Amino acid sequence: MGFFDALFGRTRVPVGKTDQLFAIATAALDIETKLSSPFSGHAGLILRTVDNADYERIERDMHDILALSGRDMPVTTRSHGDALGFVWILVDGQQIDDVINALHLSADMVKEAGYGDSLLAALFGFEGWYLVYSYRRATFYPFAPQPSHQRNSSREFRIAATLRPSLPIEKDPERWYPLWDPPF
Amino acid sequence: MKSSSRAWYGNDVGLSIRMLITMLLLAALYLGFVAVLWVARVPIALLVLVILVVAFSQYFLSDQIVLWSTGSRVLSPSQAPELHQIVDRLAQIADIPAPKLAMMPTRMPNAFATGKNPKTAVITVTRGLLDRLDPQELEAVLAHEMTHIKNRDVAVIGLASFFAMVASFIVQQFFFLGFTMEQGRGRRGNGAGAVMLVWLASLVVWAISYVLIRTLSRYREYAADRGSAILTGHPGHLASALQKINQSMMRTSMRDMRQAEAFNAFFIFPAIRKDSMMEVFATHPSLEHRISYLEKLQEKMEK
Repeated sequence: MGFFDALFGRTRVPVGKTDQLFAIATAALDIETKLSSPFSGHAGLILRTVDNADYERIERDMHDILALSGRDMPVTTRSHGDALGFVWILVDGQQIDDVINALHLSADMVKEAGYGDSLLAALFGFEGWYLVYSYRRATFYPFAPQPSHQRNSSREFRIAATLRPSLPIEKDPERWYPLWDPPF
Repeated sequence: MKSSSRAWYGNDVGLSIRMLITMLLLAALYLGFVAVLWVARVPIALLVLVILVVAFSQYFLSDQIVLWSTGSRVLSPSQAPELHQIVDRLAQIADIPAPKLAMMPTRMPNAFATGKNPKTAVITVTRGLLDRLDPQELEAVLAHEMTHIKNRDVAVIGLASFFAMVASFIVQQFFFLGFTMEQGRGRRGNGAGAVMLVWLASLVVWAISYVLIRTLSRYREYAADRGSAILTGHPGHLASALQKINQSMMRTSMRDMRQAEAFNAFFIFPAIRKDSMMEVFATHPSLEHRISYLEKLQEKMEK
């Protein structure tokens, strides 16, 4: 969003950057050893929906393709609409590499169809916390929710410091947007 | 299949061009104003003083005053978790830091954004808005305000109205300023004519800029409506929110209305009775025009 976009009141939502997602594959070992926090086997992709027939068709196509490819990849996928009108593509699998591939495949389909701006974030579940990939900024940040919409900030800070050498961690903590109540 | 180069929401070049023309006209008007002040040999020191007073009051007081005088209270995430959740997601889509939220205790449903840059921005919603809108309509209204923040509308309108405020200051402080000018130029004569010229020029600039600034304000509203549709992906949610706000606005008491009237330029929806103002003089486009603009956007999305 540059100066002229603001001056002329143009709203443009950049297409999500999908390439950095794979960085978590190599960082997964660090997370397991340094944080002694194994991958829970659950991950999800959160999408903002668009109100037109084209988008609805893409959502259906995505389910079909994921169902088909589920036969080759040892993962299961399902989708979930949340109270705020966002759609979650949920992927379960023991190996984090398979989960990453399934998430990447989904994100790519959304992007190819021309709705890359709908990609909000991908979440990977760990013990009591999530690692969030922001498609807007191509960075990761930790999210450790506690009851009644509180965050365990000191734990998030520690996780970020530990993972900084192996992952592109979001530098601006104001962009560590909370994603409350992930459905997994 | 869409080509990946063009976003699903397309763009509105016409709106940008109309904004540009309005801003150029304002710039030309203000340049002419400065030229007249120059020709009339208004003492530089006096002019600098007036400009400093206006700049100071505009920069330091504008949005603080709005927040204080409306009796708004900041809402913490634990006080309004759902509202913060909506704002956090919108902020992530818009790629700006999540703005603070405040609540104004009035039954009139409305919302406004203040702050010169995204870091200090505050979105204020009224009690009535929270009571009447469903979550998706609330999201659309918050996205409209978020677009105002992203487009830096407080700064843009503030800048656009700067010389208009200088002109109106001159018109109002005519006798005092005229006296000072007379003192400043001594007894070289022809003073009354020059003072009269400055006063007339200020009056003309004030009147024309009033219409131009309001035109610009309406274009910024269209841009914010469009931004809301793009951020939420649902133009229909804003349309239904605007209709609900309009309906309850007509039922709002005159007392609540008067209390809010001073802040109209900031609101998502102006606190005035329908047809009490011609659209050229209004800060916001009419409901009909806003709804049909959103409908056109929805139509384009289906292609």
